[in-house]
Amino acid sequence: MPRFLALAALALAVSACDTAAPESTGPQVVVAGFLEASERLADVRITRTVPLGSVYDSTAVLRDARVEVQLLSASGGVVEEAVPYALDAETGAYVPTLTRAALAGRTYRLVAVALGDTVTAETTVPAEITLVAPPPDEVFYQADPRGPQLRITTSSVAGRQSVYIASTAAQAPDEFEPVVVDGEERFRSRNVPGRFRPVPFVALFADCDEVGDRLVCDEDPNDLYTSGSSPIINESSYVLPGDGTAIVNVPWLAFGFYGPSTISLVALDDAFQDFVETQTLQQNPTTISPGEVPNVTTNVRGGLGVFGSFARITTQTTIRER
Amino acid sequence: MLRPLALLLAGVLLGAAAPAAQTATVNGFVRDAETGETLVQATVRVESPASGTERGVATNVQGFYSLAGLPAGPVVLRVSYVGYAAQRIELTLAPGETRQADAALTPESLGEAVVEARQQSLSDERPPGVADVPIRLVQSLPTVFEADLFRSIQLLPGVKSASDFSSALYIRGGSPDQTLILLDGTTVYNPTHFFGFFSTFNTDAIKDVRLFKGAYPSEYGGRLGSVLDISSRDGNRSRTAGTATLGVLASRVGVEGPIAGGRGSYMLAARRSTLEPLLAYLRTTPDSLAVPDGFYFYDVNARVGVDLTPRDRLSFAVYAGRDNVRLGFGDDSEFALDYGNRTASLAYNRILSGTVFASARATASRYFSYPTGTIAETTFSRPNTITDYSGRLDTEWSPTADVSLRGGVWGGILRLGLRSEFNGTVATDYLNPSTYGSAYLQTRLRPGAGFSVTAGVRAEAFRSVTDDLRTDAAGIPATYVRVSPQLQVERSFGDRVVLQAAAGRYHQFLSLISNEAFSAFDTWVTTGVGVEPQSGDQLVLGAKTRLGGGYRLDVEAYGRTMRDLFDIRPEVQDVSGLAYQELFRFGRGYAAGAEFLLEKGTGRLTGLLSYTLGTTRRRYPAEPAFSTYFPPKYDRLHDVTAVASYDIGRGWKVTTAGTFATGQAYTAPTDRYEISGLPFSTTSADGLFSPSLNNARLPNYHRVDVGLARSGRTLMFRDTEVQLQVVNLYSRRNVWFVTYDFDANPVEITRVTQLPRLPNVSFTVRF
Repeated sequence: MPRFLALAALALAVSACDTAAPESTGPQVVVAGFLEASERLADVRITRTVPLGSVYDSTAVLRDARVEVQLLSASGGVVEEAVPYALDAETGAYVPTLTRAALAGRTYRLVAVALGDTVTAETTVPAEITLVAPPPDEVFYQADPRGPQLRITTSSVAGRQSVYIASTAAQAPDEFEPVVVDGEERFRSRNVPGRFRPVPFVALFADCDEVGDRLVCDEDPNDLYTSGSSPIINESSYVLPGDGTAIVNVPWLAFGFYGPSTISLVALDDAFQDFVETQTLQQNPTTISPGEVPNVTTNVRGGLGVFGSFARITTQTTIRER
Repeated sequence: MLRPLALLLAGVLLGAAAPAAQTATVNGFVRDAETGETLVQATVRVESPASGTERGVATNVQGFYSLAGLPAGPVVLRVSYVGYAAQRIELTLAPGETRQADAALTPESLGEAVVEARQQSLSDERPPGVADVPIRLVQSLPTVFEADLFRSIQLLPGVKSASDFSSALYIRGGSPDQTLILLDGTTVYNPTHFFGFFSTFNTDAIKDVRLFKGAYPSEYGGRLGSVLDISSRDGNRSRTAGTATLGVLASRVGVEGPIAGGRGSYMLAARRSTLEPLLAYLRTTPDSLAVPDGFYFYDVNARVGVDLTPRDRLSFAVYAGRDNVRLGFGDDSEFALDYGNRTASLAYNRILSGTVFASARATASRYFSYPTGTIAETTFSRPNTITDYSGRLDTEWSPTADVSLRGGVWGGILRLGLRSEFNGTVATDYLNPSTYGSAYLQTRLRPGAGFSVTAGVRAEAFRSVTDDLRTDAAGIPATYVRVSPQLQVERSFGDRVVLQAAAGRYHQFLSLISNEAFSAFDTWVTTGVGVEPQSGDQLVLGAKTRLGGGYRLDVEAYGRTMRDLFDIRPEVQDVSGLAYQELFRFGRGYAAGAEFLLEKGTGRLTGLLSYTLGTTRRRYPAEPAFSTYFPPKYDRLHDVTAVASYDIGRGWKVTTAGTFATGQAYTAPTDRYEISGLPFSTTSADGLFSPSLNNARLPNYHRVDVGLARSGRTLMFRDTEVQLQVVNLYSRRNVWFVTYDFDANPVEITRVTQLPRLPNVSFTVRF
């Protein structure tokens, strides 16, 4: 019996020890680089992790790394060309020292030496997409319940269907200035000529009231809704007429303000898709238990982050009030 | 394992076929003397003074027992059931005679229950892994808002809850979908109200609850872990009676009475939320945006049964439950959710002969969930339905006192429908028609020397037609057949100790996509092309002892494996165009533990004290973040529960329940980072890094609830009960989970807590 009690006490002690949160074991190299099909090789940022309880600031940027991006041969892993990168002291990013375009369908390898470690990552650039039919120059808000329509050529990634992220950005949102109303800070629209109001649902979520010809809001709508992006959308979700194009309706939910907005569609490679999906899961878990925080999937060997690639089209339309 | 089982079954059949001309048979039903309700798991012991033999059985789910192979001559039946006065019946049996001897037990108040220890067999009462849940205890336990069956079950050893906000059952390391939940033999797919806060079963309508925590017998199947078998009440055969209960969250009414001249009965119980006045008030407050424009739930249980002859009984039971919420935002935005269950069961029972009992049942079950929403003219909907029609036939044959056989078949059609639509475009339109069938054979032998052996085998087939979401082509069929053997061995040492061992293999063809905090979007998925059935093995070792003075101590150790687990890949944001198997992650796991249960069932003070030492782990090898074994959130090393009910006298009773448990597993990140320059966003993406998943523990969980009940005359009503309860007496702010806010620098860490102290009051009138 005393032995049993001793074991039970030990078990309880072990259990109690579990409650102590583990501590950081030191910084890790974090890579952020995104090659765009047919565009100049992109800048790469090399940073480090910081302990969870620490302030994240510019000291996280690693300025003494050695960075190189290698174009691999189409048939295998042979380096066809290596492009050295150099630090841009102003931005803290590493920029290519040679002018080269990222070739669609080709694989690139990043090699970086930082914090005494060598990290590597590879990405295969998706096929380009082109805009076949842009949306109308002007559309009336919610006139078509499905939103503005455009048509693109579809991208392709070996072994799977293409996946996209749609994003919008208001080009001329009205400005809001802080005001004190009944002792509380609120935000009042300035009604700047050539700038436009938030759409009704944004005004609702920002707790806006009509006061004269102004909007007075609890939150500054510009902080919340000038730009937005969709979750990952599989190519099969679009209307596919079968001619190599896809018809895309951008939902009204994506537009936060009236006036001119840019619309972008970005096709992602595998590494980028994995990163986006798992980063979203980590920050906005759905079917996993609350408090379960899975690590973000990375293609960076020896580090964290993502070295990915994408293809993109960008267009514009103007949203008018009905 | 199958070959020895087959030989064993063959031996049993040959042995059972031997003539027994000089023996007699006694069978019958055991009922409540006041209401005529049949009593499930009542103990019937028969003594033969001439031969000095003594045998016993427990009544089945229909309240029926059969004792064959008895020596002719005088015998004494002793019939007992907890909470009822034991009954003694003296009979003189002629050689070859079959006598129907029904028993009617008189209920006594729980504090005065008489239990004659030597008349009950521990193994007859409770096979390994089985827990009976006294419904009277469920009704008296302090709870938030409503007496709740699942919340009471969560107090049993080996059963855990995910949080104060979830009534889901996590049994012996298994997730909620690993428990088969049956109401009158009908599968219930979403047993929740209030988005999972409490279970869907109205305790006024329940007669019997039996939980098979593990290594369950062959008569059940289709789940990896456990079975919860719930029987609704038949209704009062003697007189028309009713109840009405006014509660904080919901109110209940019930009526029951005899039909067909007392040869049958009916029961109707209904419950509806009564939150509307509170919601109306909350909508007038400044922060009314999150207050629903409408919310209600209801459930209705009804049952009618009649004895066509003394040997034939026909019964029909239905259940309907629904939750409905509507939340509006401004002029062009609204969210609405409508979900619920419907079940129906038509059962026919017949005593085919003195030793053979048969039951046929047709069941229907439907679960639906219709979430819809509109934000800025952008509409979305995700209707999800399950329809399950089944038929089953079960027979029991007790050819001798030492041999009983049970066999049956169960088959059905299951349809799962899921459609998701966004902004006028159908993203998923998925109908998965499945057919299933199973057959089992199970025998129980008493070879002597205190041994009892139960062996069974179950064969299951499941055929589903799953949509390959890559094309619009018709679905692809996939059929899986699995065989599951089970074996249980018991050795009794007198009337006070029994040692038990049980093992079995189990399979599961369905999996549940659920959110621990919100059950209304529950979606079931099936096996299919590339998606094999889940399987697992279980081993249970147990000892049950009667300590005297109404105390008993049960100890059980269990171990189980889980293979081919499949559930939805949580990171997938769009399923369009994916092959069926691409929807899933595949994993494995294990669980092990030991449970100690000290129980006192008689006297003024009744209750239980339980301790569970348990662990469970899972892994999904192809998912980088889940590839090594990790403890699920509900894993707890220690779990202590105490439940006590004291009959003060003069109608007063106090009940208390306390829980202490190791803090749940959670992920404690050690580092953070940022990814900037994303081509679709002007802001950075935040990242957290942790050395492993669920690498830390929340603070230990503990809570005490108390309740005081007064029965008797109140105002003009003769038979009433007032319940005053306090949940979380000392307002322990147990942590539910941890959140990380990146808007602050450094990251702000918030511990989200569970229920504070909450009072509850209810008033019940019986007439």
